[in-house]
Amino acid sequence: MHDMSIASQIKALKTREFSSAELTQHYLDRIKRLNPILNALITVTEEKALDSAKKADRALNGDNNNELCGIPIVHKDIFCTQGVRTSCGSKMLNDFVPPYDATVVKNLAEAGTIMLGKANMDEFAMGSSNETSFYGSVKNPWDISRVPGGSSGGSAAAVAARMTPAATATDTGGSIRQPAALCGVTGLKPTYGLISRWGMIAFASSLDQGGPIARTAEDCAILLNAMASFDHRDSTSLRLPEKNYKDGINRPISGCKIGIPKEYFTGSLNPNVEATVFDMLKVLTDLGAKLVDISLPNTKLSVPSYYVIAPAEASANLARFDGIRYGHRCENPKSLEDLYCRSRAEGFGEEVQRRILIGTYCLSAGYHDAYYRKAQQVRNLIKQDFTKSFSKVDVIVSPTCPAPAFKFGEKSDDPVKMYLEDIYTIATNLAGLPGMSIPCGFVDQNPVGFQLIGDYLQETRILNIAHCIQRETDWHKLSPEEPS
Amino acid sequence: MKLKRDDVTQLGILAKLAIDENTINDIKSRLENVLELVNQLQTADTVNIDPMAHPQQGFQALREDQITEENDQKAFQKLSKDVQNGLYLVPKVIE
Repeated sequence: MHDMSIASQIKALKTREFSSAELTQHYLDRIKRLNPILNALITVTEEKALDSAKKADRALNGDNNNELCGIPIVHKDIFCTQGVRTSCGSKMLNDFVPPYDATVVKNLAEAGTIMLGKANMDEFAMGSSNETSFYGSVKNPWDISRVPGGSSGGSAAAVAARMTPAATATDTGGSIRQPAALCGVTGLKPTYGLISRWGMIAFASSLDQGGPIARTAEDCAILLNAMASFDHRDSTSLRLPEKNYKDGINRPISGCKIGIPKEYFTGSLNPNVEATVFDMLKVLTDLGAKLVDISLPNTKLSVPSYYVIAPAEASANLARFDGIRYGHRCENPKSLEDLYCRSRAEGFGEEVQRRILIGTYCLSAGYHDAYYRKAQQVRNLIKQDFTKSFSKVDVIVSPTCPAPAFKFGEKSDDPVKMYLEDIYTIATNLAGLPGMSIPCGFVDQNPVGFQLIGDYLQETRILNIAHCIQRETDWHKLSPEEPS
Repeated sequence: MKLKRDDVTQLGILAKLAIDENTINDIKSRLENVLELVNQLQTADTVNIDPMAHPQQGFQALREDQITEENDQKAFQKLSKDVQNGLYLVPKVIE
């Protein structure tokens, strides 16, 4: 069962090949066996899952038309789940049990999905390796001595290890695409505003976007259908006509113009990763697509721009954790100031504190124009680069990451080295564009990701191209040997 | 970009983060490394370039000014460590 795609599981549930209760129990058994090794889930909601699965089976026996009815899913622990602890990977929220569901969680529950549990993640989604989680690192299922990527490392590892057929995730600078690449699964970051951020714990509000991680592009399209919605509770939510993201997924891609940005194939790019990406370009040309050389000249400034804007927004967003209304509170505060300062110092980990301090610095008097305003101007230049390119091409492709998964501890002592892990993914967030990562091969037995970037609201186009590639290749079908 | 120890202390005060004296040098050197990365921004020619605050620049969804949510005060205050008569309790502010 666990080697089936969601599309196949949907068919099997409809034809009663197995029930949702059987499917759910199967994944719960795998979680019981694999989670002590991989640490991909912080919380397992076994009882709730089995109860929901029974209800789904009753609905499937009736006239339920929800495509996802009875399909298990894991939610990243950044999404609020009513009555189920939502920690955001932080000691600060170790005891936080939200009184409401995030819109994404509600949408997926209404579509009939079964929540198996909550996925581990870098603390407050700040990290590219999952090493900043208060609950310990997630291990990469392909090699448990290596990181799974981050911040949605738990979501990606759980899908890769077949502990769930799907997971929700979020992407502020690459946090869906980078772990998807490092774990050999498929991840989609939609256009900013397509998926509601309500109930998704905020990191950097102008960059954060939820999305699905699954095994195939087709599965991501099915999940996106349920996740995307206009939400009056999120003022940045886009009001769009209803759309089926699976429509057009099989369209031939002959004549499609694929942009190859020269700046994404230089510098720190591992030559073996480059070779696997070139193999994928050959698949595209064999399908009739045309490769077009393009330039995104401000790429090198995307990481510096991001590391002003994201920490600046984070320092404001995380100001709400004051130790008073919810979250960690220090013992025996001597004064209100002491309560604030000690609760936050005890509740936040090192990387979160570092980003709050950087954000505070960049927004402080005398530095605002030199850093924050300048970063926003560069953000505009980056967006203009994409606008120019999309006048010539349909999609842009690149490696998702410069190298395959690295070993634990390899970059954790050097924040700058860690930040450069997201060199190919960050610009997409700054511009608000959709992007995805699909598996495209292996380097030294570790998966490599292929990134597709689309123009605004062109999810269908990138899903179409990714699906056509996945019909021709088998990389997305491979699963790691079960770790023991 | 060099910071002084006092700069780190001041940032801690602004950000409401208690900083251990013994860790200041370490924090300082890591912040300096990040600021060095960020300073690459100064190489960009941004004359006549508008700042971009948001991917949906200029767009703001509006709704009727009507109450649409129920008052969930009790549910939300259950999350606090210290509440009395519907009020959050904090340490004494005025001596």
